[in-house]
Amino acid sequence: MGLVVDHIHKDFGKQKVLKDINFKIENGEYVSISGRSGSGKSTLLYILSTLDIPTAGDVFLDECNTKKMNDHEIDVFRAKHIGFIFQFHYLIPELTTLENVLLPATNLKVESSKVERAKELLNELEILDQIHKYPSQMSGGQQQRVAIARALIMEPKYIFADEPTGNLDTYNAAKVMDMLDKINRESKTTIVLVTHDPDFAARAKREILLSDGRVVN
Amino acid sequence: MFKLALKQMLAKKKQTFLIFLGIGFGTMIYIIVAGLQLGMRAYMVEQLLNNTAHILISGEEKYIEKDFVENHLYPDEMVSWVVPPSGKREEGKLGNPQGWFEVLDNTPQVLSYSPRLNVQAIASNTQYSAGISLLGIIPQKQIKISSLEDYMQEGSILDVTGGTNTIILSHKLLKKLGAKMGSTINLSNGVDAPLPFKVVGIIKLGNNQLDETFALSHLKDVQKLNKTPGRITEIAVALYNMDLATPLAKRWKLLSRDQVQGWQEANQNLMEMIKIQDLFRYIITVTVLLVSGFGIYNVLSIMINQKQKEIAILRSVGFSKEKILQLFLSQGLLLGIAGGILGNVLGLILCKIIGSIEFSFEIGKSNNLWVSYDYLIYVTGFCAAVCSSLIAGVIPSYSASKLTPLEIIREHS
Ligand SMILES: Nc1ncnc2c1ncn2[C@@H]1O[C@H](COP(=O)(O)OP(=O)(O)OP(=O)(O)O)[C@@H](O)[C@H]1O
Ligand SMILES: [Mg+2]
Repeated sequence: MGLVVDHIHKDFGKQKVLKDINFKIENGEYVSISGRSGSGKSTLLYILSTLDIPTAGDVFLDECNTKKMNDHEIDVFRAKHIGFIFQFHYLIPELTTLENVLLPATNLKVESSKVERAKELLNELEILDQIHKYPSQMSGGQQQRVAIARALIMEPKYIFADEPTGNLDTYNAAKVMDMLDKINRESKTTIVLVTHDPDFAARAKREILLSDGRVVN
Repeated sequence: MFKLALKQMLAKKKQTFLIFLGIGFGTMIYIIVAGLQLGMRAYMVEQLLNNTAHILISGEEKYIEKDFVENHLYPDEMVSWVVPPSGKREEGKLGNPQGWFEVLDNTPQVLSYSPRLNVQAIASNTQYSAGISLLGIIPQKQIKISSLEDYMQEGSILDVTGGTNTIILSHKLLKKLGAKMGSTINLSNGVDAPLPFKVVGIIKLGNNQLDETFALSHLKDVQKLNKTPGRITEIAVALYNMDLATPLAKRWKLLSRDQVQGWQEANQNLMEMIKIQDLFRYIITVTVLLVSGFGIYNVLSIMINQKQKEIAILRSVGFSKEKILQLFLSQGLLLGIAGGILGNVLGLILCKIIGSIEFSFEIGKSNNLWVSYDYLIYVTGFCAAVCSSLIAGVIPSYSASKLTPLEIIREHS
């Protein structure tokens, strides 16, 4: 079980972005990926999280090779087991906070049973009072927290976060990091966090440092 | 999913509303054009069937042929004519009316039939005389196959009874002769002494030429006047289903040398015109489809371009390609359904309005245009709106469903 990365290479044309990456992340681990800009962090995260496939090598999620999953299997896996948090809080502008948070549940047709959990999450993230607002009526930090609540709603096994604090002020960034800590601690969710902030990287239990497409630690 | 589709459309109120109006308008135009056209067609066909039966069986007209004369008069000689013999040999008449009655009585598709004798006669009243076209009928049979009775201004077709020398005159003819209801006029076959006929009715057919020459009397009295007892020139046949006229006529043609013509064959010009009208209607339908389809295609394409980011989000939280396709197709479908309903309602209202306009001239018993409210027009209009919306939605929706989340996420980070 867990996440296994086996001799991964990723090329974009002639450019070799990832070169022979190997590691294993146990279930419930909190791992950060750091490195300089352009070192391949995002590329690696996308490959780990089914959004992209490696040029060579394999990624196993819960012992399933992501290369060999069909469209349907990937959709289901994403819906049930993966939560994404990106630097830009991608929310659907036509939906309210609550509807955005419930989106993965809507997809799995379990919307009504998740309303309570949605409210709890919003409460913990201190945006319960924003529940019926639309994204355009909220601040950037509030929107980012809505996106985090959406990532957590299905209680996924994996959370993949790419610079989730990149757009936030210090206070809000710290809040988001606290939240990730808490999720990892309380629900044994595997977290893979991409960040170039050394302090945040250090908060993870393990740090994977990328340099020029290779793991250097 | 459906809710999201709705919400996305509501967020683009102006676009959605415009395209909704566009589809509605197109459908409406189709419904009005089709309603008017099919109404017009119904009017023309009805007009036509007043004067022509579904099937008309009439005597073969015989002409004098040179060879026939030569063979009979000069069987073994070479003849050269200064002026060869020509002209009509005799009035067209049915050779064996009784045989036809039997056929008609034994054909279940036949609703009713009316044997008639059509002759030219001279009508005179004191000083003035006029050539008339006199139709001898059996009133009880004739009223079953046509709506002639509706055109009676005074009296009834049933007032002409056999052996009483009664006659119905068209209104202009009546005026020309200076006759009125109840007066007696003289009719002559041009050879024998005239017979007196009593005017018992006035008819107005709405056709100038007919209204100056047409007269109706009982078959028996016309046969007597014409000195041709038992003669029938034609049998007008009404069918339960007028569309069977052509095949039945074809079949009956084989039975004798008499002419058998279905109403469609007898009115080929009109049928051609109807075909052209149909073509015209199809062209309008296709145009409406194209215009509304193109509108939907545009709106959806623009919307999908603006929505790439959201498509990426939906895909990343596990929405399948099919669901994305559904999301956008359902918007096209919704627009099509709503526009189709709007078009049907507007079309119906406008048809009612157009149908209630009083014109200064008469159009078949009333002053209103004939408008068809055939439900098929509405069904077709609605289906066309929905189908064109769906088809137009497929291309942009399909390309939306193929977007992978990665391309978009990378682009925006
Ligand atoms: N789709 C692509 N096509 C071509 N080159 C790409 C593509 N995606 C990434 N790259 C290249 O791969 C390298 C790594 O990119 P990546 O986004 O993984 O870096 P990163 O470590 O996330 O940087 P940052 O900290 O700035 O986000 C870069 O040099 C980039 O130009
Ligand atoms: Mg990056």
